[in-house]
Amino acid sequence: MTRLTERLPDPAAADALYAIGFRTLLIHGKRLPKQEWAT
Amino acid sequence: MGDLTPLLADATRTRQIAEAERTIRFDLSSPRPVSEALATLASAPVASEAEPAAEIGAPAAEVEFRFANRSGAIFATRPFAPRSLTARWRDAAGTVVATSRADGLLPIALAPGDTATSTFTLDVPAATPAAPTRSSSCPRGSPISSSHGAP
Repeated sequence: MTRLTERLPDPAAADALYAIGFRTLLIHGKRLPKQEWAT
Repeated sequence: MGDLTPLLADATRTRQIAEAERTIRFDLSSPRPVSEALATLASAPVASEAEPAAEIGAPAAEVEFRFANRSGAIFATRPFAPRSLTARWRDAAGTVVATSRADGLLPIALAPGDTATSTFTLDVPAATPAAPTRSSSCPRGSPISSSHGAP
């Protein structure tokens, strides 16, 4: 699972995480592009 | 983890739900179906792909098998528990010369087009020919296979 999260934003990794039940992604401010906070 | 911008911009996989305390919550989704069918891994390696060689001896060895998903669905293992597969030993001409048991964990999940390796404990037949041999593994009673090359 750690390997999968480390591969993000690879869509294949996101799909694999979804397939095993991950439904929520929490992103803290320091990881977000600046424009995300501008909106 | 790299820059998540491409994933967060992919409306087929993420959707912003809430925002609080400098934290944003996204719900994950996927445009692809999820399948627990072992046939999702039914992909022999492409002939041109080089397989790593390994020298092993009876009675048992730990061998890394490569699994590929060339279907259109995401493979997921439920429950995530060791599986017992059947290894087929083939000679250079592709003829099955022996079968044995292989125990290990399948990849927990594998997206279409993706590959992963898993280590299986493989019973090695004492009568395995000394000539170049290739082993492949498949769930018992199933025609699907993953493979591991030998010189």
